[in-house]
Amino acid sequence: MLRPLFECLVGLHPRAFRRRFAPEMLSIFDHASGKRAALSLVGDAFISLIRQWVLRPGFWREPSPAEQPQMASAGARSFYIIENYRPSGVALLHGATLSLAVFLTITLAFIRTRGSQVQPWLPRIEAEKSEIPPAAQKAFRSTPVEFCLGRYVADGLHPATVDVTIEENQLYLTYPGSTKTALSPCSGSTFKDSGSSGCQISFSKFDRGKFQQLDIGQSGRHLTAFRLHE
Amino acid sequence: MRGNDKQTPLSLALFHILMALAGHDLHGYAIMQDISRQTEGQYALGPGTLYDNLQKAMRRRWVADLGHRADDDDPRRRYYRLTSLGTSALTAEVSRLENVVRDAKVRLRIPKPRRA
Repeated sequence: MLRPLFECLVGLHPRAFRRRFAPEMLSIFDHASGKRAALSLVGDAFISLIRQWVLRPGFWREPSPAEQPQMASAGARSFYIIENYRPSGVALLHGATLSLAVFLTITLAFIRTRGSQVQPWLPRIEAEKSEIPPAAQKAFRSTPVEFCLGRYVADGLHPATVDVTIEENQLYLTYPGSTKTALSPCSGSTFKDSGSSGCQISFSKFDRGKFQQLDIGQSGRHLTAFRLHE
Repeated sequence: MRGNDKQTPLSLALFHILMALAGHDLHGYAIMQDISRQTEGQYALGPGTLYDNLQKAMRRRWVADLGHRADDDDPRRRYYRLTSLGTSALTAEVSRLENVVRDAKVRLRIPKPRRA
């Protein structure tokens, strides 16, 4: 009477477990001697049934042939190799087509955006709008022109201070109470008067985030002005 | 050995199963009998617990299924063998238990009274 019950309990186990171990479990039951032993095996099968369904969901699925433990013959293998694996012809064709499509897409994208600094598939980052003329920006190359703005003071200068400002996309050298002199970039951080004065200025000594020195050359005269810290 | 670090400590059942298989290739019923001998009858393992742990061990590649043996009188029996990975796991567990026992002995040691 207990054997059918045990068989029933074993039969209720997950398929993967049942297919693998049910004959052996029944074999063990058949070897059990005495009703007490048989009862304990029934109890064990019942607990096992609950355990398998509740605690072993990962074991419900039957392992694929590749996952199944290797039958040991001469010796148990402890590692597996895939050197015998060969992808199918269809898979190779799909891979080649996909690679070609990706290659052509990238190539076309490069061709179409040649000369543009921002690639079309990258999100555009809008630069903060600046009032600085592009020519001046270019002249400074690595250092933004904003860093030269401010008031400079020099001993031999009359008046003693000079302001560097930007107005309407134009860099100006402004003497307080006097007219503004528009500056046009020469090279690097050097500018010259756009008018006929021949004044040439260059910014130097970049420190604390700003240019600290302004060299003014005019009519063979050379003056050095220093940034006035507010 | 490092790969087994996260899988220790082993459960009592799995430890005894690996220990039983460390000596010989055995079928399930023989494993149960061996465990009974190991523990002098104090720990009786049922087939449900046995095959649950064997399944676990085989998934971890600690135990290999040798299949049926022609010379066995019961054709339903399958034999199992401890793999090198299983040996490593068992060795790691034994080493861990040795440390536990050593520590326990130190803690239980009663200091000897000093002679005057």
